[in-house]
Amino acid sequence: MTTAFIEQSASGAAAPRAAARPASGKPIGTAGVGVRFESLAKRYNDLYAVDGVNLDVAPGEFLSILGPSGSGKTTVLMLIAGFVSPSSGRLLLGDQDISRIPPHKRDIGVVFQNYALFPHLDVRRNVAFPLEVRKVAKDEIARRVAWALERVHMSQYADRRVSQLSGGQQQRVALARAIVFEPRALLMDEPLAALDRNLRVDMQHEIRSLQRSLGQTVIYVTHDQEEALNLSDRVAVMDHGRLQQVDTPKNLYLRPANPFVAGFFGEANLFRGNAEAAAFVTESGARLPLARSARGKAVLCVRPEMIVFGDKQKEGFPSLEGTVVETRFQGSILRISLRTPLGPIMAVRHINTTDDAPPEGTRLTFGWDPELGHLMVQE
Amino acid sequence: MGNATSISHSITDTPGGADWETQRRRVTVTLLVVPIAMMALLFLVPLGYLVWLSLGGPSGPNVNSYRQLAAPVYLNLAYYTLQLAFIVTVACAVIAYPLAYLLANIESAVSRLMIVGLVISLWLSVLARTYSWIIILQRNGVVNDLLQQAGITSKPLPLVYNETGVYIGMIHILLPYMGMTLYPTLRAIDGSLVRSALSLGASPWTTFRRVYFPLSLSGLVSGSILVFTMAIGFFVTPAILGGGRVNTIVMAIQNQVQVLVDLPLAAATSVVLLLVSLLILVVYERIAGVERIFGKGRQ
Ligand SMILES: Nc1ncnc2c1ncn2[C@@H]1O[C@H](COP(=O)(O)OP(=O)(O)OP(=O)(O)O)[C@@H](O)[C@H]1O
Ligand SMILES: [Mg+2]
Repeated sequence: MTTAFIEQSASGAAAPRAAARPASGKPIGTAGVGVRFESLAKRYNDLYAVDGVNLDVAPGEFLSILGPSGSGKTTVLMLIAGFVSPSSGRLLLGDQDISRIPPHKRDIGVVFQNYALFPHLDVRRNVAFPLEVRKVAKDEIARRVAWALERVHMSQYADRRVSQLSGGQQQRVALARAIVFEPRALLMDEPLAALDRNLRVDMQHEIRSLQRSLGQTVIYVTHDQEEALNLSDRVAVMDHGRLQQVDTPKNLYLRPANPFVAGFFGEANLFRGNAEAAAFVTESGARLPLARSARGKAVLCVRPEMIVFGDKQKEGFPSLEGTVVETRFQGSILRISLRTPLGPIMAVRHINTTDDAPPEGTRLTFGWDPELGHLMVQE
Repeated sequence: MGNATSISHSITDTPGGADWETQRRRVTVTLLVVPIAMMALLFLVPLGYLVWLSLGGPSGPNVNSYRQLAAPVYLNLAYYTLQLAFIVTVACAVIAYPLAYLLANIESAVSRLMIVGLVISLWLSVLARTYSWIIILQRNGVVNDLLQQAGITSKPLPLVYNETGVYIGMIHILLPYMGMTLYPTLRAIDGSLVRSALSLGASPWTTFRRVYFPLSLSGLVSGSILVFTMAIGFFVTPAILGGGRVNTIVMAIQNQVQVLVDLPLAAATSVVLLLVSLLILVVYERIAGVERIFGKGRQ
């Protein structure tokens, strides 16, 4: 997978906050507060669904939780929302410990995968619901509902019944309902999973711009890597209830903390072996140059697009040989599978020349810039 | 090519030579003939006969029987019957709702066993279930024995052959109908709606009142209609457990047939009973009808 990274501030905390001003009265839209996990764990019988998670989400940050099925993403979200109580550890919202506060007193907006709109209420009443239960004055409710529906471009549907809306429209209403009461944080559990691809991309943009303009803290669960990379300031990668790495999309791709993260984000050529000062010795005995000296058992990660061939090789690059096993044309890139003494290698080449794809069986020399190889030292 | 022509030929040559839609309509009509005929024969014809009889039968048509029904004794009976049916319906709803809620929300072998129990109780004869209440509730029955041994009462309480017995019996027999109508409705309520309401700041009680209960209303309405109409026409249980002290409109009909031998009067009473039940259905549907709750738009 080759993803173009949008340059964004590494901390992601300081999203510019344009106060959204409705027609009259005080501006609606409060910035979110931070969320902090302190060795948070949830155990079901003898299975840890969430295991010792430490995490700081900055106010106004967009954090995605990404991981394979059953890795504990939903459990994390339900812990924050309060539908699951932690077996141990603490959860802080701002500087308040909310571990033992019931869900309805947490002031956290939740958007569910199936939208969870109330079928017996129309769009307007759905969005008004959180305000009505908070006993907000009638005219204030009308003002805020109008504001929230405006924000998600659903004003003209206010009098519709929920069942008369498409999936994307329902999701917008769910979003409006979750932001209308100015929650302290917004949680979303795979909110776009049920939508088709084009709509999903549109909604991603809208969610992102809404989050930015509100300065809302968002914790977003997804199993779609592309979505996580597109949306997030930072991504938390989970596996088996544990956080594997929390970092910016760029760093997750270029500097994965371990082979799991490396394999999870796009393709990676992973070499196992030992770092011996300036060289990395693979299990098969090959010596590969390292940019920085290191020692110990390690895994070297080289992304397919970092592999260069023949004449593009430079001084100091490893010089390896392989046989083309298969080439695949994928739009703007050519994907080349090689068989090498180091094992199978995957390379991609941008199609910006008239070169033909090397036929199967061609022997090629290849290498990479040691600066771009990423070494993951294990324990 | 020749092959293709022969295929298209055989398609247009299907029996009747009609397109798929027309054929479907024909099949539907054919299939409906039998039930419609049965309905007419077994339901409309007797009903017509009943109405004809109530209007004086061979010596009619007149409304003499209906005039007789205006007598205070019948009005009181009708009022009493409606009241009985209403209280039984409310009691069934109040008892069945939490029960159905538990069954719908607790996943366990116990809840499955209870549902099986409910269904089985529907198979048992009403007569057997009614008589068993006599054994339980009579002067030296299980309940009175227990109450006396526990020192709650010194004399046996009159629990059967009176109104108490009728209520207990009718509620017991009609409860499963309410339960079996409510259960699937509650079961179908999406748990994420409840979680969503809570996360939006509604307290558990508000969540129940404003989300869960409105969504369960359709089941409650159909259960109530079922129980109420059954209760109005109930005969065996009030007759046996009432011990002659509880008189309902249905018993009056029996009396008219067997003692007064006034068939037109009995027929007129039945017709009025039917109309009242229908009216109640319509009113109920208007007040709390499913159509209104999930109404089509706001206009
Ligand atoms: N109520 C529960 N009782 C027992 N085990 C549970 C319960 N809820 C979740 N688990 C277990 O906890 C683990 C994490 O579940 P969770 O739903 O958080 O995963 P997830 O990352 O959201 O997966 P998915 O991508 O499939 O939604 C799973 O192994 C699951 O079986
Ligand atoms: Mg999940």
